[in-house]
This record gives sequence, structure tokens and C-alpha cells, in this order.
Amino acid sequence: MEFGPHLILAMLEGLVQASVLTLTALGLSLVFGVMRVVNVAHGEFFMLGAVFAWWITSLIGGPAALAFVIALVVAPILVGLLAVAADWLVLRRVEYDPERTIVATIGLLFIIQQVTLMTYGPDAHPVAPPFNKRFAIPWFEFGENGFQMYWPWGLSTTTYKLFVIFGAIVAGLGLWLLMARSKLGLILRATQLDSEMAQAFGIPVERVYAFVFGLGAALAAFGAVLVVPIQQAHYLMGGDPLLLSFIVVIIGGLGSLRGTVVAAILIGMSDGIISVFFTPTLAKIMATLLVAMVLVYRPQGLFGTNAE
Amino acid sequence: MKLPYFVVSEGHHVASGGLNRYTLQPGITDVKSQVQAMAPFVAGNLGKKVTMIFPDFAFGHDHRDFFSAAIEAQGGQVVAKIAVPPSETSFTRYFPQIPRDTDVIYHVMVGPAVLTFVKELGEFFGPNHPEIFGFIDSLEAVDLATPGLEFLEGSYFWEGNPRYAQVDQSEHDKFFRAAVGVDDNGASLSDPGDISTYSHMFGCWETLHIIKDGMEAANYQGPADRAKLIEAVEAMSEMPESQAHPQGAKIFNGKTHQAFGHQYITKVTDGRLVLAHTTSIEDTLYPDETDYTTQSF
Repeated sequence: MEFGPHLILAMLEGLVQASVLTLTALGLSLVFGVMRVVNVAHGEFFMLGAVFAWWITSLIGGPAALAFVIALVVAPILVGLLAVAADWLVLRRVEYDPERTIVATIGLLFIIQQVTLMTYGPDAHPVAPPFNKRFAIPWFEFGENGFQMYWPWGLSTTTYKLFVIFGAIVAGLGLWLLMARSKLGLILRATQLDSEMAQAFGIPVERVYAFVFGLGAALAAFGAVLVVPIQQAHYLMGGDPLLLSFIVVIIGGLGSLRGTVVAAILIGMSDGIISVFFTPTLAKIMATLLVAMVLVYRPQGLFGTNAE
Repeated sequence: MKLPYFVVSEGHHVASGGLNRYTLQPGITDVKSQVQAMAPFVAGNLGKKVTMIFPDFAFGHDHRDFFSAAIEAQGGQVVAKIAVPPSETSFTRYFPQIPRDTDVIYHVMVGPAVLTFVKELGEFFGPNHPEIFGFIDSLEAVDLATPGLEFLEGSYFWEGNPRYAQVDQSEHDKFFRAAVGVDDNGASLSDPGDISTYSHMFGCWETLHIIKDGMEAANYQGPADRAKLIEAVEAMSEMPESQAHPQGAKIFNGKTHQAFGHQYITKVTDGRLVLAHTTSIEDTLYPDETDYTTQSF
């Protein structure tokens, strides 16, 4: 493949990956930012989103588009409610103690994964995309006949992949509006800044925590529903998103939503481009190396503020 | 461990001499002989310049090494070898490595993401794709009617045992399908959407029958007779097609502990896999690489 079309294809693939990663990492970052909880089970909420999407679409049947839209709304809500229940049953009982919550969420990870294996099974199941039309992308060159347009072999994408990018942008804007422009966002930010002071001003911090934990899980689940027509739902699919989300959140700065978005696009795009031109393994090595560099030279992350 | 071990993995590690006398693979052929038997068909009918896409571990490496050698013996050439990590979930980024002058794509993929792999292969090429030859592993247990797989129409697959009941279905295949509860489309009798791994599952059935025959021949009474069981299986050679061997006749090599048998090539026709070519057992033979019978128990 020629360099130009090759690069465009790499960037398109990278953008799709970056979109889903942004949503997943935003969920992780939000939970850490407000609650100071490192949620190791975050990848499993992602997986549950995909599994619920399969379950809902196969239960509804009918036209793929309708079933998918319902799954896109219902699956994140179900996962969010499950996370709220986990918060009330587990995290609240260990008083959000940083070390105990890590152990507790590791336990949650195994419980969710194994229950899925026991009920959903070990097979991967596809979810039909609501629409999926392949279209070739033209390329330009200065050849013997001057400037001309041609259609390189393999340079193509699908309408659904573009929809994934679009869906992630909409969800990201929605989260920004919620945080920056609503009363609820004000409460969340107040809790993030100083939870004791917030409580003193009458903010029901425990309920805020439950909401945030549910919202974080729902964001991951939303990303998973978007990606499941491209990949398939499988009980072990939560591992990679968890690892990449941690990488993104560390680079962007723990708790900084703006940093998370920038880092997710950076990691997603570079992963796409390095994978296409070199190898996917090299892409993972580079991302992990970047994390190490950030931890050594800028431990608060690119956009994080220094903890006093 | 001095415990009889009947392998049903298709790995070449039994016949290569890498294991010991207690290890046998009498119920399914190995990758080396399968791949070797495919090369004449690929070179003769599809093209000489082949790009291989395979999983990056021992199973895929067997395909890479044995097929490269076999296609060169046919005057063909592997123009690119694309190794994909087994845990991969996204494949489009590997496809730009496929050279433009490729005549045939040879794909073999395993694991939970096989459907994504095949779908993305179709999306990458669109309407103008090279010839495609795949091992059914890439679509084992996946419904051919899944949306996105239409581009496979007219492409070829290696199958251990054809998933769809063929027009000249043997009475033994009919018996085997009924016994394991699989319908004429390779799906479960109780759920037409639940596609079986029919192309491979005969291996366990045939192996169990060989163990039974071996135990009867050795008059097996208990663990003390383990060596006698191995010797009884080593003494087997021709296994005619029967209810115990529904996939077809086989020849067992008692020295290398490996069975050899017919291989099937099916073509996707109207969304079904229709038999296009059956190799002879001779096509699958290769010189012995070991002799386990010289080892003591």
C-alpha cells in the first residue's frame, strides 16, 4: 500500500479506537476524580455493556437498527444500576478506603467475569450493526496525466465506524455539559474538590458517590455497546480496555477529564498508526514506556494539578 | 509420566518425535499433512502468489512453515507472511501488509475474534478481492449466514469433515450426525442457531473408538496394561471408513504415532459449503521423522 492511503487508513482505525477509549477512560477518570477510588473492575463494566447489548438485541429481535438503539440506551443504564448496587453493597462498607477499594474491586472483577462465563458462556457473540455500508475513499496523485483521483486498494471504511466516532463525540459533549453547565455538575465538582466541606453544605456525598460510580460504569458500557458490532461480546474482553484506560488516565492526569480526552486521542491514534506501520506489540510497548516517562518526570500527568 | 495420552490437537509435535511413546494422535491428521495436501489445489486452481495470515503461535507457525515449503514445491511462492497475535481483536490494521500482486489469501485464525477477522477482511477488500482460501478454523462454530460474510461466496475452505451434509453423504456420516445431535447444516438439533465445530469434532469420536478397539485387542484389565494398550494401537494400520471412522478411511503409522487421511476442500456456494475436492491419503503422506517403537516403556 502506498504511504498516503496507508496513513489515512491507520488514522481512521486509530480514531475509532480512540473514540471508544475516550469514553471508557472518562468513566475511570471521573470515578477516581470524585471518589478517589481506583476501580479495577472498570473493564468488566465495559464487558457487561457489550454482553447486555447482545442480550437485549437477541431478546428484542426485529429490525437491527431498532434493537440496537434500544440496547444503546438500556445497556448502559442497566450496567450503571449494577454499579450503583456494587457501590452500596461493597465500596460504602469499606468506607472508600483507597487500599481496601482496590482489593474490593479486584474481587468485583472476578465475580462479574465468572458470573458472565457461567451464564453467557465462553463463546463470542456478534451484535448486528444498525447500518454498515462500506465505502471506498479516493486518493489524489500527480501522475503522468497531471492531478488525478483514484481509489486505492483497501482504503475504505464503513458508515458504522464513522458512527462510532460520532457517538463518542456526542457522549463526550454530553458529559462536559453535565459537569460544566448543570447543577448536578456543580455538586460533583464540589464533592471532588472537598468532600467534607461539600457534606457540611448539605450535599448528600454518599448518594453523589453512588451516582458517580454508576455514571462511570455507564460510560464504559456505552463505549462497549458502540464497539460491539465491530468486535464481538466475549467474557474476557474487559482486559485491554482496563489496561489502556489506566494508561490514558495516568498520562492525562488522574481525575482531569480534559487530560483524559487528550491522552485517549493521543494513545488511540498512536496505537492505530504504530500498529499499522510497525506492529501492535510495539504500539503497546510505546504506550507503556510513555506511562513510565510520565510517572518519572511528571507524576501528576499532563493536565493534572500537583497534589498539595 | 507413563500414562497413555491420546492427542486430538492436529499438532505436528507427535509425528515430529517431540513427545514419547505414550503419546499418540490416531484420530485426526496433523497440520503438516493437511497443509501439504492443500498446496497442489491452491497452486493449480487459485494462483501461485500467496499471502498467508495466521495466528502468531506454534499452530500458526506450523501452517506458515509447512505451507511455504509445500507451495514452493508446486512452483508457487508465499509473497507475505502476516502473523497476528492470538489475543488480537481488531484486524484491519494488518491488511495493508497484503502485497498488491497477491493471487490468493490463505487465512487461518482461531479464538473468539474469528468472526471479526473474516468480516474485516471482507470490508477491507470490498468487491475486488483476490482468491480466498481459508482453513475452517477461521469460521468454526460461526454461522455462514452471519451478515458481513457474503463476500466469502465462491471462496474455498479446508475442512476436516464437511460441515454441511453433502449430496453423496455416506451412511456413516448420517449415523455420526444423529449420534452427536447435529443437523444437515452442522447446527445443533435443538437450536439451529447453535453451530457446532463439526469440521473437527469427528477427531474425538474416532479417537474414542480407537481407544476402545485398542483396549479390547490388548485385553486391558487395569493400569498395569498401559504398555499393552500402546502396543495394540501401534499395531493398527488401515482404518476403513465406518461408523467408528465417519470422516473417512485412515492409515495409522505405528512408528510415528500419527494418522493420515483424506482432506476436504469445500466451496462457498449459495451460503453453504459444498465439496469441491477430496485429496487422496497419499497426498498427505510425508517421510517418517521418528520411530517411537524403538523407545522402551
